Amino acid sequence: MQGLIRTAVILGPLTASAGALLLYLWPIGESPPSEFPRGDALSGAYLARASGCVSCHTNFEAEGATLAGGAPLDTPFGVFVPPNITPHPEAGIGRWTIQDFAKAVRQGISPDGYPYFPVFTYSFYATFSDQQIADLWEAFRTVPAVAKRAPEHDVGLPFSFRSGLKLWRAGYLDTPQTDALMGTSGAWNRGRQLVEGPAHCAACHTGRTLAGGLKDSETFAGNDNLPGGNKAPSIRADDLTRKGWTAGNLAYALKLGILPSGDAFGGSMAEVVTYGTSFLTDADRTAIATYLLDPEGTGTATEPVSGAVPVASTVDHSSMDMAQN
Amino acid sequence: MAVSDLLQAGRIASFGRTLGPRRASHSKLQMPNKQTTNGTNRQMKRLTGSIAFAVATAATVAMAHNGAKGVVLERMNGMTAIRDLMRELSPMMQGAVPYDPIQVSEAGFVIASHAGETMRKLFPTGSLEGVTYAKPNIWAEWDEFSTLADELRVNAQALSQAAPTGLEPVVAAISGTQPVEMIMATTQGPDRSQQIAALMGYAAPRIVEVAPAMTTARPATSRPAVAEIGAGKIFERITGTCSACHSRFRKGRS
Repeated sequence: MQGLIRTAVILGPLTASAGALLLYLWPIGESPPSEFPRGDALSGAYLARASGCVSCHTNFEAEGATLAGGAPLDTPFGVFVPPNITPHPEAGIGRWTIQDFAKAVRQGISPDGYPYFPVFTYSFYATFSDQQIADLWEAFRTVPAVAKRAPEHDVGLPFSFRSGLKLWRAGYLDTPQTDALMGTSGAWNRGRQLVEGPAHCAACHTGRTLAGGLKDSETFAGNDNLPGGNKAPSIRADDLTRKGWTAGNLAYALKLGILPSGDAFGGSMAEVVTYGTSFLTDADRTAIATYLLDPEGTGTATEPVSGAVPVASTVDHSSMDMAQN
Repeated sequence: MAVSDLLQAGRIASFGRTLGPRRASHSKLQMPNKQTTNGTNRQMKRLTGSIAFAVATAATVAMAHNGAKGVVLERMNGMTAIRDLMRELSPMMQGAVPYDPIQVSEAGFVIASHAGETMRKLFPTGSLEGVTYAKPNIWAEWDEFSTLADELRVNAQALSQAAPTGLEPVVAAISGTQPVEMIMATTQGPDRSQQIAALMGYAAPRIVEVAPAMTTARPATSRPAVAEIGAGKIFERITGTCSACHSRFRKGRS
């Protein structure tokens, strides 16, 4: 009996340590290209805005400096603070090479080789081209350097063991489907590229498993458990159509945050518009709407239900009854 | 069937029930049938019938906002009024329906009347009773909230004034009062580095909006004549104010 206990007491932690060591040593990622094309800062700035870099890494509410660190995100795994990614050599990413940058953005791996917490939506940026990385790089270089680091994440064990994320990546890391389809329109293809890629709509609008991975079977079906207690409604084509959305009024809502009912988006979606989609071109917003209303690319977006007027679904109108007022 | 008949038949209790949880107070309505003449009896029934009707209406309205009352109900009604006006204006601003300057002007006037001090008065400190979508940080961040209320009033008044001249800005005919948009246009559009700065978010506040359709919650640094901005752009400022306030101070689904 004593022998058994002794074995368990010694063997248990030994196995765990061996496992941790294996995870630590498990190599991940690919080498980025040794050369990148010449970047265009204006294209990069547009992409940075569309990808949510600016809105996440800047604390607008606290009137923080651009990319100097974002508002904390309260998740079931801990509180994460988007770090300072200004060109400051100590507090930011000033010492990074473009290869480091490419690996971080497209693969979610730090220059030290650690995986980033998936609260950083890097999986949606995996299909960025070398040109896009170069453009982002040039845009980031124009941002004034800020000497203050953002606060550290508040994450406890076991989630703070970074190498454990390699298991998560093996299970949940998928390449986004951003490719153009031959039989679809230019707008649809652009919409697909944006929605499945930089705009990362699924990050909020798709449900998550206990481990925090996206549930593939529930793509765009909505998520009631967002950080900060927010809820994201379904943006599936049939649900959008049923609520009276068209490509026109959805693009308009992404521009101005105002719904056809006259109401305004609330909570997180208002922020998405204010700090994100309002900066896109009309064509890009229409593209996003076109894709969402027909994600299979059948070319036939169904007619909206007549009489249905989209209302702000972040407000529980079932009890408030404002729509019938 | 008149309400008075229902009363006579002793059916007032069931009438209250059809409305749901809120019930009219029956004890006051059931008058004892003392020695009165027929005429007085009928009058009494009519009076109690009217009271019952008024109570029922109030109950219905209150139920429509899930039991909200007092200042919470008032501000819900105010917001609904603004919403309905915005619903009328949106298609005009998109060019989907013909632009009606009188409708735009009146809408701007009414929205302005709901904003500013009127709106502030509807949010007395800590007024979070019952079902409300107001967030407690309204009072913690009162300055920001107050600024947004004023911004809405200013922009709505501007919309009202700019409405007659139409959606697009008017070029000033008098020299020396050139609108800033014109000046920028003559120097080949907004500067590239300004566009990058605006997109990345480190642009200094400028008179001319370089890229975004939305405003931030900061008052305009200068106020060119409203006609030189155009009703379309002013409408965008209003929607920006709505969004800025809602994202910060209005609860989502609980």
